[in-house]
Amino acid sequence: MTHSPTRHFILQRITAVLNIPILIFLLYLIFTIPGMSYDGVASLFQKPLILFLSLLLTFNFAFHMKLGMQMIIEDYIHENKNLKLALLLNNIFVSIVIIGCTYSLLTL
Amino acid sequence: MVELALPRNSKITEGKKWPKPQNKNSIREFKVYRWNPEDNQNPSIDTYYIDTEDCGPMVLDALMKIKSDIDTSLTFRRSCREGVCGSCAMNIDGVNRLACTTAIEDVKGAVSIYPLPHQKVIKDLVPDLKNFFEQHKSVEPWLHTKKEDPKEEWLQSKEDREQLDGLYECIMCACCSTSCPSYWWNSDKYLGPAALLQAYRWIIDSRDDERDERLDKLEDPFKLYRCHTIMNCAKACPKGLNPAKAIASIKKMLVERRVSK
Repeated sequence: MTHSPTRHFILQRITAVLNIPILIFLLYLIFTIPGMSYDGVASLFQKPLILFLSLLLTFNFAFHMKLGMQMIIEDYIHENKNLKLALLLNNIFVSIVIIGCTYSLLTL
Repeated sequence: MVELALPRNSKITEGKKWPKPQNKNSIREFKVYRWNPEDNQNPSIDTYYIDTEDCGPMVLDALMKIKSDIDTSLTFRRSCREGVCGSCAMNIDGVNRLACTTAIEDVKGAVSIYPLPHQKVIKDLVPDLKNFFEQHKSVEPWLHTKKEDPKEEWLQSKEDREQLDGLYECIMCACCSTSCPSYWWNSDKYLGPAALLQAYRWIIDSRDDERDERLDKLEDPFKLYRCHTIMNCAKACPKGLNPAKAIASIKKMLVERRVSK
């Protein structure tokens, strides 16, 4: 359950606005990577700026997704036990996404 | 959990079809939701035919004509018949509105009339609005002052008074709240557009001394933040008010307060 709803609201807006420039970076990746060799992709992601933006993309998208899903879960699941379980699964899923993506980016 | 299927006893059946008047040129068909808690039957849709030349121009006139001339058991609320009291709010042709300010000729085809959505029905077109009015009461819609009472009235500048325009006109008809999907799912915890519009009306009143306390009470994951700016409330309001804007203003005040802490 959101303990500080205004903080949740602010973070949701900040991550939403931040997603706009990050989306442009994602489009750049989508149009750049196809056709590149594995070594080419690996060297692309070893560039500090690309690595930083990729990590930012991972964190921001995943965190924004977590906040949005939390809202939806709170909207539709009313029974306290199921609500807590759904929120826990949401947090676990987002953690797996962040850890998995970060590990992949850093070991590419 | 949200119930996606209706309970078996809430399935709406075909109801009674009343006879059509003969040799009349201006007949309109009215399909009206009926449910009586005492007969243990499912809700039904009764069909009535009204000669509009022998009836007033509004949907409420037609309902009163049905009740007085055709079927005295039809139950609905009404009072002022001029859009001031909010009693005759119902779902007409799929939209929440006041029966007294909705012209029959503005509805194309058969006029379908249901009670306000997602509220318990007391009988026919009468919804149970107890929770709705309790929520209104919970925002304490009266002046909270800490200053000594003035000898006459509490004065306010013209500019401060103008802040209340678009807010004080609310007639508490419940058209907005009962058109809001967030209110449908969480009406036990979410205050809904009507109560929040009233909350904002008192928050920005220059004479009120408890703005922070009022904002504190609204800073809750459900009371305020279930509003997802769907805007059905603004579309449904028969007085042309914009509860969504008032809710956004409360959120803005809460954000400013938090950022400035």
